[in-house]
Amino acid sequence: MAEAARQLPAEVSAFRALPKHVMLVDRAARVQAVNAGVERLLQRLFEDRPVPAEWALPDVFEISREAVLREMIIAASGDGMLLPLRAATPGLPRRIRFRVGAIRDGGRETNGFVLVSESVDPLGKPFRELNAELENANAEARRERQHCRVLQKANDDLNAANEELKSFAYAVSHDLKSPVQTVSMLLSELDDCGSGALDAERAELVGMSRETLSRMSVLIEDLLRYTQLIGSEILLAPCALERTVEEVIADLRAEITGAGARVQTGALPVVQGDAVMLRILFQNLLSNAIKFRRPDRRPEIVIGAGLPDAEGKVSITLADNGIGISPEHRRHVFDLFSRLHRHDEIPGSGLGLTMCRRIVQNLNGTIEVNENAGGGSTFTIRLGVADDD
Amino acid sequence: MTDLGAKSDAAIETVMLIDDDTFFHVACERLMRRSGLVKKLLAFPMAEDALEFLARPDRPEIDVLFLDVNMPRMNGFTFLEEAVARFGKDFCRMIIVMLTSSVDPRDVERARQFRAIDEFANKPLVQAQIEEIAARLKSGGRPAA
Repeated sequence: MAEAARQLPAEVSAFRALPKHVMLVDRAARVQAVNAGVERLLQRLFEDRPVPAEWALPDVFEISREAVLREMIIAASGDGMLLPLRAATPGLPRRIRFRVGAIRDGGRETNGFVLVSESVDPLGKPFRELNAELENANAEARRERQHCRVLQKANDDLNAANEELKSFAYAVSHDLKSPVQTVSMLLSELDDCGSGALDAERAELVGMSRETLSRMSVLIEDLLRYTQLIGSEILLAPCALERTVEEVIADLRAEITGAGARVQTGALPVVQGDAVMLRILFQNLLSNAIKFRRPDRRPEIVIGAGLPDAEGKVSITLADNGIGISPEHRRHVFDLFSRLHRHDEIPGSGLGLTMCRRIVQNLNGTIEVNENAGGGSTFTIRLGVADDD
Repeated sequence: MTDLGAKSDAAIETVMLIDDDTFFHVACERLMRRSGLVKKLLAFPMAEDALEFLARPDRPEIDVLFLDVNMPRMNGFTFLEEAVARFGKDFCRMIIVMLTSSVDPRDVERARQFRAIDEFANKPLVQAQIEEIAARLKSGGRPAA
């Protein structure tokens, strides 16, 4: 039968896909080809027994070899034929009604017949259910595709908005710098304008203006740095934190000795990160620890790490004995421009910890702040540990 | 409390200023002194300190409050919530919220929720605003909504 199917013309795949039960039968009632529907029917009928390679209609249907040709010729005139299944099988109908067409190749002689079941689902309920399931699955798939398209569009929009915001923020920060610099120059001119210096009052006002301007410069610089971090493409690579921290300590040598601070470093892991970003991260955290020190005690900063957990993340802690952050403010310290101090108390742009959070997020990690047992703050960073090779 | 030496009958008796930028205090004090329309100025760099001052039984009546929005630890809106809750909405005669930028709709929207706010002023403050506020106080108080 399989051979017979292969001998069929190219329309064979269309034939096989017909939703009804279709058989091609020769004059001796031998079945030459069947579609997928009949194949399924045979599988149900034979269950665990092998489906015979060659079979005739009387093998499966309750009809004699003598009667079958005559019946098919009569059925081909338009009535169709009702064929009972030989074996009663649970879930299958007892009888299937077929329409019959005679195949004549050119001449008047009938070479064979094509039998097509009348209804799509002669097998009754199980097939209807199967069909309903298929349709549901199809509808579900359509919805899924629709959902995917919506998500894809939202993602594209978001990427575009992010990109635009990034270039916008960068351009604004750049353009803000130039008028600030100009006013700063003009004020210098005013300061030593002409022969007589300014009187004390005016000099003081000019001084305050310049101080305010330099605050603005710092703000713009930090804003620039921050916008460079937004949405940067990062290739994570193994970074030895011990080296990073060593370099940061060297960079901040003047600040550390100026404050009389002591920085202790324990063994630090090799993490998945970006050397430049990690350096900015630890620079910010360490200089914060010095900046927010308590005036009555010598700053002690301890940098250490735990062991990697089951997820391959490692916690790195930076603990200080500074002024600390009260619990109600801890939630906000990482927010953009969030500050807990006035400029005349402790200067800053309110962007340092925002930058830290951004960096850690870029490196697929987390950062949080808690109270240090000895008074002060402990920052905990979780990063992926680099695989040993 | 700074005595600005205004003698005019039209002058506002007491102004309270809450802003974290102390250089802005200097600029305001000079502006108000030059206007001759403010007699006394109470300036606070931190909102918490202003709350503490308002709780004092011997404090003077406040005619106008100039309030900054963006301040560390306690911002202007949180201050207003606290002050209204503790001292009632008439803890001063006129409340003016100073906005650095009028373009942020979130600030404007948030400010609308405070019925106690009489007016918004955009920074920087100018002489004309002081004149207008002084005139309104003399003519008996709050502006039309």
